Amino acid sequence: MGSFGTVLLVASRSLRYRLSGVLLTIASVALSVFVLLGVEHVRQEARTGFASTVSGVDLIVGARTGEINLLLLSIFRIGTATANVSWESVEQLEQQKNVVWTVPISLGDSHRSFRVIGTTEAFFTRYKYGAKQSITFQQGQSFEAVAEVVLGARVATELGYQLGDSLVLSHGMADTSFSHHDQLPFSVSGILAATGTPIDNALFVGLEAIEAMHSDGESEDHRGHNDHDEHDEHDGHDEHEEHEDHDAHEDHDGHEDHDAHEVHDEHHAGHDHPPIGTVTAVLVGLNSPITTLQVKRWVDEFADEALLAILPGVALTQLWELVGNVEAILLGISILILVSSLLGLNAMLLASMRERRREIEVLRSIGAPSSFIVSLLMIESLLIVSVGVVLAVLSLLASITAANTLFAETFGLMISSQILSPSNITALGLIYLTAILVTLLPALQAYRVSRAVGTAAAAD
Amino acid sequence: MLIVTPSDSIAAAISLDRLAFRYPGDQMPVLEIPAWRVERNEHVFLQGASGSGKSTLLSLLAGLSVPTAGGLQILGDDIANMSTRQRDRFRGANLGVVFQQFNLIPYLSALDNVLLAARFGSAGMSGSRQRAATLLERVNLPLALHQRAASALSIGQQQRVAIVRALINTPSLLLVDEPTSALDHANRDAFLALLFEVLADQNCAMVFVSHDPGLGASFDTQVKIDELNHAVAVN
Repeated sequence: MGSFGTVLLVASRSLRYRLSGVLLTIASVALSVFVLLGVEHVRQEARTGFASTVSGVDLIVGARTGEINLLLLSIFRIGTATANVSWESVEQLEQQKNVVWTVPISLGDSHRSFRVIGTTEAFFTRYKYGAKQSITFQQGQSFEAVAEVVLGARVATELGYQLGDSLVLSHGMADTSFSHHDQLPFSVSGILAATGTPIDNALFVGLEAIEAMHSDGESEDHRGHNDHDEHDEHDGHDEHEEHEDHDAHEDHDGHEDHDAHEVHDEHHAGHDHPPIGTVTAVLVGLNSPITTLQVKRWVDEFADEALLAILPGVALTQLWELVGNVEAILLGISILILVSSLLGLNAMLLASMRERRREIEVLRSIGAPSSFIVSLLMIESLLIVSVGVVLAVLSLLASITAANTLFAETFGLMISSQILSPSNITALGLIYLTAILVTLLPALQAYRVSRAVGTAAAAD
Repeated sequence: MLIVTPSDSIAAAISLDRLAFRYPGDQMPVLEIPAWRVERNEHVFLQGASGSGKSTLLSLLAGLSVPTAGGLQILGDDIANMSTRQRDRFRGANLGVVFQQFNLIPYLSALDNVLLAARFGSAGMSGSRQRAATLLERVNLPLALHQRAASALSIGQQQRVAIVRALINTPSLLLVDEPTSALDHANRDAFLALLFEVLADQNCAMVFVSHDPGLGASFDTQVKIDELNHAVAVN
């Protein structure tokens, strides 16, 4: 048995002898390490989760405003648009080379506090979240007719809507809006699977539907159009139009497609082209990330309208830095909790020094050097900290598993169980370092006692 | 009874030469011993009232403290001039110490207490387990109690384990400080008888300190600390 083995054996027996006090100390250490690791883990998860609120979108284009404003508006749907993007600009943007797709977003309406978003069907295939995960339908499918709506997961569960239910959308965010669009009931065509992003809290309708709501009572024309819209024939038109347009542009560099436009205009006789006068923002997909800045500059320097293009990742990071102070405070508090529990460990060891004076005398009388006594004390506290850390890690893993089974279905949130991230390992290292530092005081005390054994014994 | 054979070839168990000890901060020394010698295998009874400095002397002999002045040789080694670590090793290997009470680590079993001493002594761990068990049997500690925590043993049992613990490394000098003060009369006599019985086949000198002159009868030599110590008693 080596020297270390001896210390370890004696230390573990000693801890078992003082079990109740030791268990309390272990519990306090475990709890504080649990809080610290938990906060740190959730902090990182929140950051990555936040950063992946939207992915697969290269640029977000909106009327010129602050970058974070545009992000809040287009992704989190917080605030109201001070200016919009005209449909002409959207079309010009779409014609830009390097632009592969655009998904317009128009918002402003709400349904029982949940925001209604006008967009195109492409939204459901283009918009990605997390690690490029697509939006999936839990039930049903995308809206096809004007009077159809797709519900975010949370909207469906909270308001208890089923597929095929009909609901009324009102104007503005307030629940008690006076201007209910009673004339236009929407039927639920699809319910999205939970994503853990703001998508869960939104209702999606076609751009035309937003337009129809805003201009209700304006003309009989629309009513007629709506009826017409519901025909499959019409949808055929829409698709046809989009494709042809696109091809024409690319092939002929915007010369001959003029004719095509005129043909369409005639065909649709003044209703849904443009489907809406203005949109709030446009999500843009590019052919290559290298061209991002190029397109951004084109948008920022766009002459006809004051526009702004933001990179969602960059803007999300900026926004996170604004919110980040809160997590720093949280982290600070958990560090304080840890320090207080380590001080508790220190206090327990110091208090036990009085009764251990005899023990140290005995150890010295059988030839144990002071270093043995000091390391005995240090090993004891490190054992307490280690058991506490192991308990904390295990209970954190258990909590994450429990939370995941609880939240995954409701909120679509999955917390990673990879709690031993580099920063958490650093945290553990720091915990041990602090524990050692905190133990130095009782260890020093033990050293003094052990050196004074001869004189102290003789003093009585 | 052992025959004491003073021999010039073998150094004395204890040899003091003009030894003085003063506590740090004190003006007057508590111990001043011009000369004292304990031969190998000699069993000395050192009698003195409490406060007479006998515990201080014992801690000097054990190398737990060092004299302020003078020579102190234990088993021929000048332990006063050793480093602390050297003294720890020397103590572990050559000396056995038995206190009045609290001789054992309370949370270790009787056997482990003995084995821990072996760990710091010169005895190898392999043989010492067997030797410890044999010695524990010799002091009438039944096998069933060997694994019992020291705190769960009676005072008498603890003191008997302490003898074994002190003897496990076959020391050449046994220092015993009032080991019977916590025992009743019958247990005290039994303890002393046992101590001499166990020591009979060991080549080991002993200094037995007590305030009770009645215990001294069976020792080779009886010394009064007041005769040794020339320091003026402060109290």
